[in-house]
Amino acid sequence: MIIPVRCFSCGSVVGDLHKKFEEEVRKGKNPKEVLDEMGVKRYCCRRMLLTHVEVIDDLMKFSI
Amino acid sequence: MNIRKIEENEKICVLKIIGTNTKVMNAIRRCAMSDVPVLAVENIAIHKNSSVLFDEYIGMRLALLPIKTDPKIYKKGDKVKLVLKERGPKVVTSADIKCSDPNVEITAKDVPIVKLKDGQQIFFEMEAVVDTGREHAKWQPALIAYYELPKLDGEVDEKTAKNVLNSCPKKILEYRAGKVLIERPESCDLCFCCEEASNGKLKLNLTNNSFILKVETYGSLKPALVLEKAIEAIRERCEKFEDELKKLK
Repeated sequence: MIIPVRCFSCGSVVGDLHKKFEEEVRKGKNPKEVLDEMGVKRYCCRRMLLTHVEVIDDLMKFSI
Repeated sequence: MNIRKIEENEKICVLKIIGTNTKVMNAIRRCAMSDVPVLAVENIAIHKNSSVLFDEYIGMRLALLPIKTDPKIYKKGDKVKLVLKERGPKVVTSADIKCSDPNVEITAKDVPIVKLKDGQQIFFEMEAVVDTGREHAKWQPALIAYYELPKLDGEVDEKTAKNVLNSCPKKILEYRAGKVLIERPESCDLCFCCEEASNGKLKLNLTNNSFILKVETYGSLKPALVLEKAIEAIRERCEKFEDELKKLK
């Protein structure tokens, strides 16, 4: 739906990183490099950003 | 007990502690997780929500935001009011939340709370309460972990030592007078490559008395302060125990 506020496993805040992550990846940068630059070390937090699908934008089209 | 600081910044504090045991380390860890009071959103009054997300969904998101807490001002049970009132089109972030107290702020600024389409509105009045991680994980101040440091036992000759030193993927080993020492044990991954390269002459063991302690705060308190408050909590409990013991006499 929308990027979770925190990592499911370790609880550190990942919500604030999604915007920058998506922008950089859309520019064609390697996701690994983007995550390393942002200081996301653990693989639990990395999967939160890597595997997230932002569905809320599609859902908003169908709201009144 | 000998404590050395390896790394410290706003978010992370790494300490090397020599001369203690797992019981002490675990007491510190558990108290830091469940006995350090911080602020988190607990009660929400929803006046308006015409966004695509459900009330409780947004409520959960708001509760998880880390709030900067000054332990001198905010004691356990204290409350503070927050307000979130926005109108679309807009991505509502944690920076839009307004607080009555200027000392209180949400540390993670760019967390999206909800996305609003043209004309959609939200109006939330929230109450943040100081409580501990024992009650709910949203009040947990930090991620805290400790590791036992490794050491290499046994003796090797110079030729084998060279192989051992080369086998280490992190290059943290050093050869001195027939013994292989781990120069930076905090970087060791416990891959056991050194043990394999030594043809059974070396054994990688854990030291049992030296530890690495990592405190990574979620944002509500500074990492060093989390430790300080955790130790305070242990002391308080021990004093309570002592008082009860005195009553027995």
